[in-house]
Amino acid sequence: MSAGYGEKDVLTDMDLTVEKKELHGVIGPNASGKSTLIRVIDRVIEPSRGTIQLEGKDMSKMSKKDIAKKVSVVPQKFSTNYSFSVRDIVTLGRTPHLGPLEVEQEKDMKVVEDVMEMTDTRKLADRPFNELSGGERQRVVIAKALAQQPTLLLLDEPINHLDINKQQEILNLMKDLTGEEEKTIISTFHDLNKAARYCDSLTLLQEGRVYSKGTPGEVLTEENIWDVYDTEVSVRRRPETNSLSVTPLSRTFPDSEEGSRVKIHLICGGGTGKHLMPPLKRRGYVLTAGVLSPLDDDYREARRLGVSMVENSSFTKISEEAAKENEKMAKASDLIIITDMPFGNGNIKNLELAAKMVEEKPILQVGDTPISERDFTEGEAMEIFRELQEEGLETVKGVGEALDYIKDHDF
Amino acid sequence: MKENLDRSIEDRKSNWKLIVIGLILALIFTIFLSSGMGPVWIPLPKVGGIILDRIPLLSRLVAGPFPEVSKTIVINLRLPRIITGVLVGAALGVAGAAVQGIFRNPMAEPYTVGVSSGAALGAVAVIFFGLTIAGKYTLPIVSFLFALGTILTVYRIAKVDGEIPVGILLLSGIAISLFLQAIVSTFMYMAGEELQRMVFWIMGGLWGRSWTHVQMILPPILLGIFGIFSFSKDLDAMLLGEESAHHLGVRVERTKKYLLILASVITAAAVAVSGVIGFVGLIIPHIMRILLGPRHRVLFPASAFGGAIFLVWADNLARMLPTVGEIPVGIITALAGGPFFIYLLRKKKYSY
Repeated sequence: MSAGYGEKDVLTDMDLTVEKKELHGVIGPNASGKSTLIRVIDRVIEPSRGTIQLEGKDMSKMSKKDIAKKVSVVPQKFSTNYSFSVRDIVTLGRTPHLGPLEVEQEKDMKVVEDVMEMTDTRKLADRPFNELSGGERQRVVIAKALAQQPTLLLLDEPINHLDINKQQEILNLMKDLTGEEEKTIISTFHDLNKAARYCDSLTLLQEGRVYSKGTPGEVLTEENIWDVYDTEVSVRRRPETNSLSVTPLSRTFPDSEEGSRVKIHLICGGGTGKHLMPPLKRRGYVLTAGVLSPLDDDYREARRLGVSMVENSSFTKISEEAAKENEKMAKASDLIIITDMPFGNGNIKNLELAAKMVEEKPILQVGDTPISERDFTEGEAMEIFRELQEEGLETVKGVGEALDYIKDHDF
Repeated sequence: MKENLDRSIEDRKSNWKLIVIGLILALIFTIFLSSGMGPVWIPLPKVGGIILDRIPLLSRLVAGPFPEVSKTIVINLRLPRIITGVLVGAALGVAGAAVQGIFRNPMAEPYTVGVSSGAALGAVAVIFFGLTIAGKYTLPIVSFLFALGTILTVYRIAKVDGEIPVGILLLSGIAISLFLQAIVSTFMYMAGEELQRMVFWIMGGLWGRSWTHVQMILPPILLGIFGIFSFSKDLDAMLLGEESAHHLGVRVERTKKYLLILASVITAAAVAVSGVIGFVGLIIPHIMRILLGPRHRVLFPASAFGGAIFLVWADNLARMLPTVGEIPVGIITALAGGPFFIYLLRKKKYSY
């Protein structure tokens, strides 16, 4: 399934199955598509490709009302300017179960009282919603969602902005719901430790794709977090809770010996190389890059990290001098890394350089976007790339694999 | 637990019923009392008798006959004006509540989307060109059509990819209103001796309304109010935000569209016969929300009855105040509404 806003897909090729009665956590850095995933499951936005099935039924064939009887959402932000009482808010959860002119019956009010009992909000029933504290509000919004009597509950960062004891309350409530109440829950989390401790399974997103899925132990590895969050962490099992604990390590490294001698020339552009630069730099590799133009994210990152690079002005073809300079840097390196960058007539010289160097130097491609999707030269780039491949271009998927590759080879 | 449960449901129901019944009684009382008020005072029992005499089943209860003069005054002069007031007040109250709900904005009112400016342009044009295609009913008919044309234009402008974002709707309503008002001002500037009629119409008044006016607006207003009422639950959900309403299975865009159309139709009908009476559609929903909470199932009927009562009393004042002629009722409602709105703004705890 893919989905997004307007023309642009935020989520690409998602393939995800959540088991019944499971608390499934969705994690990933900001803008990795967590909230979009929640929105697309509840059909606030439609998938641009693929389908979403609920208990084997295609959700696009279900009416909004029928979906609302099976799926309910606790959004990241919930507020109202109107002076609803807590009971009013929870009662609104019955909306999908009522006809246009139908008034809540006794059985509806029974459901309302039951879910308030379950969420410990009965004592707040007659208080104005707007006067409640953050934790109380969150419990009321969950009660409203439960009043819909859903089988699937979606929560978007339910413990953000809550004190630690309130976080615990909400998480325990969520756990109880998947247990006694037999609900299935999909929830996004920022806090990796909480996700590790409470979720039965996890999905780790990176830039709108599933990077890893499985049990917390399978997903929360030091390598995965390194790749996705670009952060060095230590993952240990805590004896007190028997759950995984993720602790970030210091971001500044002492000059690491492992790479200090190795020189790497990075051919990138269009924002494809910015994720590679910090980890390589931090490992102590001597990094050069080219050819980049000032409006590029990669250029900015290289600037920030003080990576020496070959520049070319934006919107113009790579000049002869720049190409020469680039070749000089490439020749001085021990390894050339080329990203899965897009190629147009302006920067095709970057690819030509790689093809020229392939017999002389080891070349590694990071990223596996097929060349056909990033060739904007009407086939020229594809031709050169094929040549490159025949000469034995090696390809790895992400940062983590790239680092392993460099470590395993002796440059 | 069980006992508690029963009581909480019972509380809601009885509250609801009590207040609506109270409002209905107050409205009936208002109608009877107002029919006796005027240059010629007619005592309440007599007014009651005259009115009941006209109602098929109830006529047996009263002992006639009544003097012809009093009958004419009550039945032919005062009652049509009062009933027009009831319908206009109810329409503005309900339309106001609906529009405030759609926009989730306390400053929204039935005229926000440009209905009144369109109606005013129609009316001013009729007066300016002296149009009489449909006799003395030309003006209400033309202003009704202009009002609907305006809201359709605003709607078209605000539509983005099949959706109407309320922010854009609000702004395009204001933009179109300002534009139409400029044309209205041009007509008024060139009007000469017809200026007073134009001004009087724009200020809003119920002067000289007949049973034909009542017949013209009764069907659209009653149907419209009932239609709006049927969206009560959906609008409740929309007060939590459009995305939350969506989570509750509400078809948000469809609800917005129908509510806007219905609110515009009843507002246009009201404006067509009464001119631009301000503040009823703004303050009545606010008062009712303070008294009864934001749930529309209660708010709509309460705003209808509240709007009707308020407008009839404002009109009583307009025709009774000892001035040279009659004051347009729009002035009275604005005089009462302005200070009240300031009071609302200053009152801290009111979250609309």
